[in-house]
Amino acid sequence: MKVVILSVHVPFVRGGAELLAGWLADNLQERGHETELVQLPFRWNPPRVVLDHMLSARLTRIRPADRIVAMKFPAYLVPHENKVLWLLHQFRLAYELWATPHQGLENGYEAGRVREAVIAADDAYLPEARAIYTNSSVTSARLKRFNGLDSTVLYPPLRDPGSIRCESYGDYVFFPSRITPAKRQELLVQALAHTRSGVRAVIAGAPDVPAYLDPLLETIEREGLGDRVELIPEWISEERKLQLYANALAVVYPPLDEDSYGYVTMEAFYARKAVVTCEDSGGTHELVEEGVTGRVVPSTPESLAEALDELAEDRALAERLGHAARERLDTLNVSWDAVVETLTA
Amino acid sequence: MKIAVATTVVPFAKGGARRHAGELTAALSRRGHEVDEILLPFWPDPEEMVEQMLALRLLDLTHEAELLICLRTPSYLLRHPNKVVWFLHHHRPAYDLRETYPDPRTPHSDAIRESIYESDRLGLREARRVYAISRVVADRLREYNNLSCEVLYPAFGDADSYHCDEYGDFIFFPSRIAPLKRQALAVEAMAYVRSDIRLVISGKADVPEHLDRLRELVAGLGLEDRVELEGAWIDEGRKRELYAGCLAVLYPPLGEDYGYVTTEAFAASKALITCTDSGGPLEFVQDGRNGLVVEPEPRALAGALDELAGDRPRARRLGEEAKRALRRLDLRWDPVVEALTR
Repeated sequence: MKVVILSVHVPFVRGGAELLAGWLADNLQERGHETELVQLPFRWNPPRVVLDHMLSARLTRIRPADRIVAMKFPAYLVPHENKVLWLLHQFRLAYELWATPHQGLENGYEAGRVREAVIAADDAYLPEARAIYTNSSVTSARLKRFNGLDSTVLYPPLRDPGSIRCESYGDYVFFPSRITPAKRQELLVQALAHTRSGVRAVIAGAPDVPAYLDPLLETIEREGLGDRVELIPEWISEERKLQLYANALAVVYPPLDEDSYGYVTMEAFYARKAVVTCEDSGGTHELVEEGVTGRVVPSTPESLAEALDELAEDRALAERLGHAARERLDTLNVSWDAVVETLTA
Repeated sequence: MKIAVATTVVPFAKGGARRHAGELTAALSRRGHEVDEILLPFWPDPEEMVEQMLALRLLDLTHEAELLICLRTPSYLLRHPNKVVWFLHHHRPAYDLRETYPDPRTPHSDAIRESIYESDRLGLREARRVYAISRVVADRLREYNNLSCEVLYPAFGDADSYHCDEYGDFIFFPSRIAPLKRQALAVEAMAYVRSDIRLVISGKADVPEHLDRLRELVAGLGLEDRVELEGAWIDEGRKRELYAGCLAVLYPPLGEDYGYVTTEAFAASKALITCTDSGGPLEFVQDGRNGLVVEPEPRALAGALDELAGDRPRARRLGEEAKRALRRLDLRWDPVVEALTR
């Protein structure tokens, strides 16, 4: 069938959602569907422009399509008789991030009214979809809590899980991610200062802005961790990443209240590595079960250090958790076949 | 400079606007600009056009880019204080085709046509500069919008990827299959052709019925052996093979805005056969020098095909001159980028 994948695009910014939309397009095409990716431009400051974007989406017509798969706000407001949603998240600034330090909307009366309009539009138009799928139970729970809507979780698969391998359980933990405060790389560096086992850490990823590196470099310097923390402040090649996964003792991924399980968690599980995450990490809990497929600990340097020491001193434990992690994936039925079949049903 | 290149596109259609936007974006990037391509879905059904125009009008790119370059109609409704339009074509059923190929008549059609005029007036008035993709389009802008503007031909960056193998036994007609491209005229001409030349038509139909009707025409005239109808997009490699092997290229659209087929044929050292009312191709084709220009009439077209089929050395001479004409045109990106970012 003719499928239009509908998402949004913040001009001059590339993000993970765009990658996922692209992979979905590839996989639909491979299975014989004629596919087009449509991305509507979007911005949210000053807050009133959100209203313009919402109205613009309502007035947009997508023809000729047998099916629309809408992934983000406000693109999912585009009317179509054959629309399904694969929701990555709603407009978070109007929901769970509202009235938090991450609000991101210029404050004031106007922002409050815009927030009400966003919620009203979601209430009115989300139910137009033939079906609502989400990327995680976190997103589904929010949809239920804020809009009273039921949805089904459809986990986004990795692009090419077959390439991920396990070679050994080495002497380092691996933390691959964009370097940004919400991912909490600094927590790992501070934890290293409290470890006794001599475990090392490899932190790899491009900083959102160069200044995010400063506190990491300062802590490494102050605590004398230069030879135990390897900081690679750039996007590493796919091959290098696979190599680092393959030989890690375990993977550390302690973000603050993540929307979904995070690709890192799933990649780690394919590499048969336990994931060490935190109690306030949100979506990672969908896959990481304390003591079974990894460790879920309080988000303090001391607690994290203790978990890392235990794994470093008991490799058999790291290996056991890692194997359970890989088995956990098999129970999830995460595959592009399943995603394409579900979204085109 | 941060530049947004915006155009409307019809989902699933591989039209010129998409190609144009992609190549322009690449050229601007090569010159060191930070460029983002914004492709906006737009379905040219008049009954749904007013709401779609408003959808575009609500989008403001002022804070995203220093310069907004708008291509296909009506992308120039996007708001930006520094907007340059490289005008590809009007919504022609409301303008030059208003009498011949108008949009279907409905209770709203007059009001909708007025909205189209008004939105063009508004978008073009706001632009700092307007360039036309061809003289044909510049003439229409003068006639209908009282606007005089410079012509800026698209660069032809990959002309070297076309080649010529021979002057073979078929005429090639590559294009979207649509009434305005007049594939039916070409098929009807084949009924009058006396030489044993074949016609290869390839391209995807906008709507499947157009292809069906063409098939019926071929069968009705008993031309199955002489007319090959490939009703699908051909890949770029095969397209170049067909250009390389044909005797000449046929492209007889009605009032074409620009027409990439012309320069592609020239790049493959092939003469172009076109019609007196074909628009864009006439800016490049000179009758009897690098191609043939005939009346849009089956017998006249058949005469032109027979002429080249009966005199291959002539087809070669015209084709070689076409290649030289293309070189003289010097269709490079530098002057285009220069003008658009001035």
